Amino acid sequence: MSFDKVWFIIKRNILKNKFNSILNIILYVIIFNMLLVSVGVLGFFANYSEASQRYNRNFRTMMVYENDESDEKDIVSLFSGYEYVEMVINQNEYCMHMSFVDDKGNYDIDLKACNEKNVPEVIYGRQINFDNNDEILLPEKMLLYNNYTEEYDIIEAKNLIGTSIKCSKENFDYNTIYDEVENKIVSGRKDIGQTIIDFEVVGVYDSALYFEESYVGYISEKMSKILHASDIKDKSGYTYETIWVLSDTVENYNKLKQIAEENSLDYMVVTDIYERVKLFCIVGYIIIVGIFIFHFIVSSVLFKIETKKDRFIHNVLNICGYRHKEICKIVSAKYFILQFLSFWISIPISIVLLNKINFIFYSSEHMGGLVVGITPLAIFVCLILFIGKIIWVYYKYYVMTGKYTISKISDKKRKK
Amino acid sequence: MSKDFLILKNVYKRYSDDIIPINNISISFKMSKFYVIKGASGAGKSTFLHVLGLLEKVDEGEIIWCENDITKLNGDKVSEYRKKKIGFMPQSGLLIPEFTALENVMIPILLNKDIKEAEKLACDLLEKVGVYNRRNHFIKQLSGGEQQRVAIARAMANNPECIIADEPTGNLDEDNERKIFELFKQYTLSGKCVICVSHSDKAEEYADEVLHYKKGEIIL
Repeated sequence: MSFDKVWFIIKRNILKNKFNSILNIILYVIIFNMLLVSVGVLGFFANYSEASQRYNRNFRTMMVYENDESDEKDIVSLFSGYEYVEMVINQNEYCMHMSFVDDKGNYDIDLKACNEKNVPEVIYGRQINFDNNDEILLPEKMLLYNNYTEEYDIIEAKNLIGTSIKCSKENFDYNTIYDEVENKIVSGRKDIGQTIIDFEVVGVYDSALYFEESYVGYISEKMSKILHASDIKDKSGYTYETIWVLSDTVENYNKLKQIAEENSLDYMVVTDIYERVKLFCIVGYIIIVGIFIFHFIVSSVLFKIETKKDRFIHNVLNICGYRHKEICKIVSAKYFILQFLSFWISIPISIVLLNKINFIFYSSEHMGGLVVGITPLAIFVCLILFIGKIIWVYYKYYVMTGKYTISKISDKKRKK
Repeated sequence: MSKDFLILKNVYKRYSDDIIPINNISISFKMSKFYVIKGASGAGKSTFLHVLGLLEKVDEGEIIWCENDITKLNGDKVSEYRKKKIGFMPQSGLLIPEFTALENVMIPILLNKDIKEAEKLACDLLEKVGVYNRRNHFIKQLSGGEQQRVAIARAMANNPECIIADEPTGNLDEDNERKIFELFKQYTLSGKCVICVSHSDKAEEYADEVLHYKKGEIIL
C-alpha cells in the first residue's frame, strides 16, 4: 500500500480531530524535549569525562586567602572571570586585550574575540555582541595576563562593554590600533559618562592553543602560567583578598601550597573537581536513564490511547478487506507523522533550553564553568531513538491480532 | 437454475451453554438471489451474518465458498475474501464520521485502484445509489437514509459476489426503505447475491427467498 493511500486515510483522521492531534503533539514535544535535553546533558558529561580521562589530570582547585575574617567568597564568579579573560577565542582568531583606568582609579577591560570578518564569536555557546554594548556577567575581580610584561594583573571588571576592533596577528600595528581605540572606545566612553584617563593596548596573540583539543586540556595548560604569578600586585594599590588558582598536577598543587605558605596566606583545598564531576555524572546518568524510561512509558500510554480511539476506523478497514499488515502501516504512519512533527518542533525548543542549561553549567561550581557543544549529539541520539520507536510501534501493533470487532457496543459508543 | 456458491454444513457457534446463536445450521445460497432473513431480536441473526462475512469463526461445521472450504481461513486470506468477494454492510452502516461520503466509499476501492480511479468509481457508485450530490458532505451531515445508501455503495465498491447487510433499513421511513431494497434487487439482477437481515415487511416484497431465524436455527 503506497504512502499516498495511507496518507489519504490518515489525513482526515489527523485534521478532523485537531484538538486530539494538537494535544498529542504538545505531549510528544514535552517528552521529546525532556529526551533531547537529557541526552544533551549526557553528551556534556560524556565529553567531560572523556576529556578528563584523556588528559589524565588530577584537577584540583585551591583557594588562597590572605589572613582575613571573611571566608565566604564568590567562587563561581571568580572562576568564570578567569575563563573569560584567558580564554575567549577559537582557533585562527586573535584576541586583543586592552586595559583602561578610569577617573576613579578602577580598571576596566575591553576584550574582543573576532575573526577576520569581524564577526563576534560564540563563546561557549553564548554569543557576546560587543557592538551592542551587551553587559556580560563577570566577577568583580579577575586575573588578566599581560603579554608584554608577562605578569598577571588583578583587575576590577564589573562590566565588559567594548567596541570591536578588527586585528590579526599578521597586520597588527600598534599605532593603528591605538588610534582606533582612542576613536572608538575612549570617545564612546565619554558619551556614556565615563572618563578614561589612561589606556594601553596590552597585546594581540593567537590564543587558540588548546580549545580544539579540549577545554579541560586548556585549563590544565593555563594552570602552570598562573602558578608563576606568585607575586601578584595591584597597580592601584588596592588590596585583594582572594585569588583563585587551579593546579593540574600534584606537583603544581604542592608548589602552590608552598607559595601560599611562603606569603603567609591561608589556603584551602576546595575539592578535587574531577571526583566531583564523576559523582555528578553518575547522578546525571541515573536521572537520564529515568527520563528515558519515563519517555517510553508516556509514549506507550499515548500510543495505547491513540489506537483505542482509532479502533473504530481500524475495524471498519478490516471489514472492508484491509489486511492486518496494511492497518499496521496506517497506525504506524499516523504515529510517525505526529512524532515527526513533534520531533522537529522540539529541536529548536530544546536548543534554547540547552543553551539555558549551558549557562547554568557554565556558572556551575560543580562543573568548573565547563561547557561543551552538546546539541548535535542530542539530536542524533534522539533520531535513533525516534526511528527505533516507530519500528517498535509497528511491531507492537503487528503482534496484536484478532482484536477487530464490530460489536454493537462499539457502534453505540461511536454514536454517543 | 443457478449453482449454490455458498454452502454451510452443520455450523455451530456457541458463546456459552445457553447462548447458541448458530445451532446446527445447514443451508446453501445461490447467485442472483435476494435472501431476507427475519427473526426476533437476539435470535443470532447478526452472528450468522458475521460468520458469513468471515468476521467471526464457527465452532463446528464447514463453510464452503465456490467449492473452497473457508472455515479455517486465517488473517490475510480472510481479508482477501472480504476484499474481493464479500461486501459487508454492518448494522447502521459503520461509516467513518471523519470522512466524507465519497471518501467512505473510496476506502475499499483503494485496495485495488489508485486514488484517482477510486474517486471516479466511488462517484459512479454514489450516483447509482442517489447520493452523488452529497458526496462531499461528512457523514454527520447526511440523513439516515443517505447514510445507509452510502454504506451500500461502500459494500458494492469492489463489485463483490455477495453483499451481506445487517438491518440496512433500521430506523428508516418507508420511502427510503423501498429505495434500499430496490438497490439490492437491482444488484442481484447483475448475477450477484444479497443476504440481508431485516425486520421490515417491505423486504419480503423484494426478496427471492425469506428465511426465518429462530433460536439459532433457520426455518425455511
